Amino acid sequence: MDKPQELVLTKLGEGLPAITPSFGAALAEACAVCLENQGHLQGVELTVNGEFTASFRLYWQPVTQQMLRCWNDEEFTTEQAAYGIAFMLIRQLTQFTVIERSRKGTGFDYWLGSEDEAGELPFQDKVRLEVSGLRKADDRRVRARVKQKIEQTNPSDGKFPAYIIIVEFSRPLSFIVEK
Amino acid sequence: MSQILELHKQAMDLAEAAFTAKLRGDLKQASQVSRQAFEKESQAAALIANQLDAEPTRSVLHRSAASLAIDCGEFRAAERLIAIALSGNPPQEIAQELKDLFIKINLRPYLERHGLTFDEEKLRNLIVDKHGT
Repeated sequence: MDKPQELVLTKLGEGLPAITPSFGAALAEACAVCLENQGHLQGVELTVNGEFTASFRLYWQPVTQQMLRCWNDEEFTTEQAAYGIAFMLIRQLTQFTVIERSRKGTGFDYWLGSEDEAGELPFQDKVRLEVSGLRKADDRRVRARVKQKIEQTNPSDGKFPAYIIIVEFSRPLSFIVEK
Repeated sequence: MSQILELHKQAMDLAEAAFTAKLRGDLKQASQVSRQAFEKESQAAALIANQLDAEPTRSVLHRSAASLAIDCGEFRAAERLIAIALSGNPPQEIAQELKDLFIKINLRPYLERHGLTFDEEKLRNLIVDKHGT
């Protein structure tokens, strides 16, 4: 494995082609809350396995009382933080970034593509992103979540290629599957 | 940029703004901006409703507009949007998500019509247990 690269999570606040800066900043806050909650220090190493093998040193903003008040729902916060980390991993490890989003249930559904792709219609020829977050889980639970996500995104007509990214915050680690 | 793309982008930027407003506890602002997002996304979906071969754009836009309709409490509008999407040729993955959304809207009234109490907490726990997480 190469020397760890840096992942500065506050950069999410710069936005992405389909993520507004204010929304990106909110995701960066969720990341900070999850990482501090697990007792990590700045520069903690995130290990990536699966489709890619890599490691990243994570850096985030200080957590304030206001952030803790905003992000007091553990499950919701973990999910949003996982999206934040997934967006940055995708940019670092693939030629893709988030270029489309749609609403799905109570959250967003994200689609990946190259920044220079400008189609007439959204979602055409895009790669779907499926993300799942776990605040603290053992290997068995991480594997179960990967399996569940693969099954969820495995329709019989197989229309969409997808990246499935699981993020676990206690160690921290990420598992990436390309479907 | 096409009109559909422009409306959709505006809708999603508004939906993100509603998300952050809700997070900060500004529920009035979140509600207002959610409604604007729903209106824009509905307009984008309407522009492509007759292009049955424009998939997955057609079904994803309708699903997105239906989700925003639910956020605004516009359940009949959500049902109509889901029905329009399913009446075309949605990819199986999106069709399944549209049906899930329809169940989400209708499960509580269905159970209540049959004299059963809807326990959202119990349902959530059942789903979590099933997935083993």
